[in-house]
Amino acid sequence: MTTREPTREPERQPTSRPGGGQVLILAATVVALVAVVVVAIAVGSVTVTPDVVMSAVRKGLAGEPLRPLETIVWQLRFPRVLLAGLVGGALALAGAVFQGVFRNPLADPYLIGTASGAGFGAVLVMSLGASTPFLARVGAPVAAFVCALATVMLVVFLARVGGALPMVRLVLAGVVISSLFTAGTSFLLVAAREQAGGILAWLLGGFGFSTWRQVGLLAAVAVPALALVGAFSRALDLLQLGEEGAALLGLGVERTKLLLLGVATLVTAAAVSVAGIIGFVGLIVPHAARLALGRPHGRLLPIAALWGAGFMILADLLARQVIAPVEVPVGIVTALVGGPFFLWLLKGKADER
Amino acid sequence: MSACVRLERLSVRFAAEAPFVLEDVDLVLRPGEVVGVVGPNGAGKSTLLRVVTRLVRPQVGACTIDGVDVARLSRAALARKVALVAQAPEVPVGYRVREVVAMGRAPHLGLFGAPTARDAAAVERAMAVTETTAFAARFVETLSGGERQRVVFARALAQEPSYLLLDEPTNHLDLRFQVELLRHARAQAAAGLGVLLVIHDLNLAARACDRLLLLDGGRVVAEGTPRDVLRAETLRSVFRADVEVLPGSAGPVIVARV
Repeated sequence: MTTREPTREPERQPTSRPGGGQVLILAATVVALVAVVVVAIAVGSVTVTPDVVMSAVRKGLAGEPLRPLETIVWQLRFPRVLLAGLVGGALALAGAVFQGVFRNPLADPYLIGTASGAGFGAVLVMSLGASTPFLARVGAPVAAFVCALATVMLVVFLARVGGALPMVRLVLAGVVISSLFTAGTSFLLVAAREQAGGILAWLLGGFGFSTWRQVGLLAAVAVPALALVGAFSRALDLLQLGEEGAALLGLGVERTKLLLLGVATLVTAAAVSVAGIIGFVGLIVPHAARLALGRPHGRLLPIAALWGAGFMILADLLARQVIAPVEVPVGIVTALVGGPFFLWLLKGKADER
Repeated sequence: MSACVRLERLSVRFAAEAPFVLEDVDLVLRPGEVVGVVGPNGAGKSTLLRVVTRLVRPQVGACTIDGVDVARLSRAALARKVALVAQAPEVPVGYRVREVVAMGRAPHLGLFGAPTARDAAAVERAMAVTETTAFAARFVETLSGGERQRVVFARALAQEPSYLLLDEPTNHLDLRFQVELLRHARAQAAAGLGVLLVIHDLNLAARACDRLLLLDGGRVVAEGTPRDVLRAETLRSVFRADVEVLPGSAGPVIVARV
């Protein structure tokens, strides 16, 4: 090249083929995540040593009788930490998919009504079933899940014209339906009077009542979703060319969009139904992963999911330790940590990608 | 059925009562030739390319590729036959040049196929031809307009289509790369592709194309060799401008009097 234009910014990586850096990041992520899990399990109202954690795992998996400390680790802390990790990973994955499909860095898993629908459903059941704790405990997650899916289907139905699903209409319908349900939720909260505190705590999200059953249920949704979305990573890359650009390279755009949004919504609804509405993770974690790895979704999606898991486990650790024995709703922690981080991204990163 | 892109009595309009954007257009594009589509703004040139790529469906008539109606081809099958370099192509932010060019392999891979050595070779070849190999590892948003245009051209070549549609491909290029790009287009035709080229510059069109199709108001006004189509009286009436056509050694030279 003789007439090459001057480079406008220095090469971010001198290597001609990306690859080595990503493997390093993935390896570091896995090591760090394991460390975070062990620390989060060991630290709490009673702090245990790592060897107690290990023996609890061994005995728990083998089904052997547990000593009291091991019981705390295996029955309380383990499901809590794993559930936090699954929820964080699910929300980050869903956020990465939403941002990819909408080609908008401001998109998050709640953009098209998932959160408002889930919140309304759960609060409705809790305020109606306040006198029957069983209904509130079991019915609320189910109602959250069902209402989240129903809301998104309503939004998609309203936004559809002909066979197409224009993004602008989707976002507009999502915003309006969301405000309607949020208003409904606020009304129910006010009407619930003395129960309002407990309901609000659920809305703000947390892992206080985590069980192995919830871990199993969420894993059954989130792990296949990660595999499915990962298989569609090339389709997500093609969507970055715009809908026509993607179609010109052979992608069935409408079908792909519907499938990806459907999977991301399902995962989000499942996460919300076990942990309440936890904000910012789905917004900032995919951002951070993108800054570190660039856009191609084949490597972005798994890293975003793993970082989301680690971030949520740390946020939950902070939530239960910062003013122990009182637990702060984890949604407050993610917002307090995530908000400033996002603003830093907004002001500091001129080369937005 | 002979191999070609064939438009037959094709008419397009965007609403029931709206005027036709293309009306009664016939065109055959065969492998090995470069056909230029010229005409004033709004003549329907880009729409014609969009019909071939099924981004627009005709109300009347049909577009067939190698004998098959485009409406009956899957998106992927169509993308293996035809590549379009759009007028203002969107470049994705956060991707390296090689990754963008490799997207051209998507119609061959399907959704889940892993790229093979053959795919990698097609990508490297496309970058070599367009002289984009030098910045293969750069992020595409850091490139100049002209460099991006070449990257998009490289992606179309990586698609290894039978027919290459170019919509104003020389727009953002300086003189050297305008000539280079048209030379590449001719080379692709010599290698057996059919090239359909929408182009404003009549002088470049005269030199790059085997045949020209002159559109005005959606209708074909003239068709034939550049010498047949680019006649002073035809151009004056179509472009409503004072035009002189001089005989040149490599084809007619069009001079507008300002």
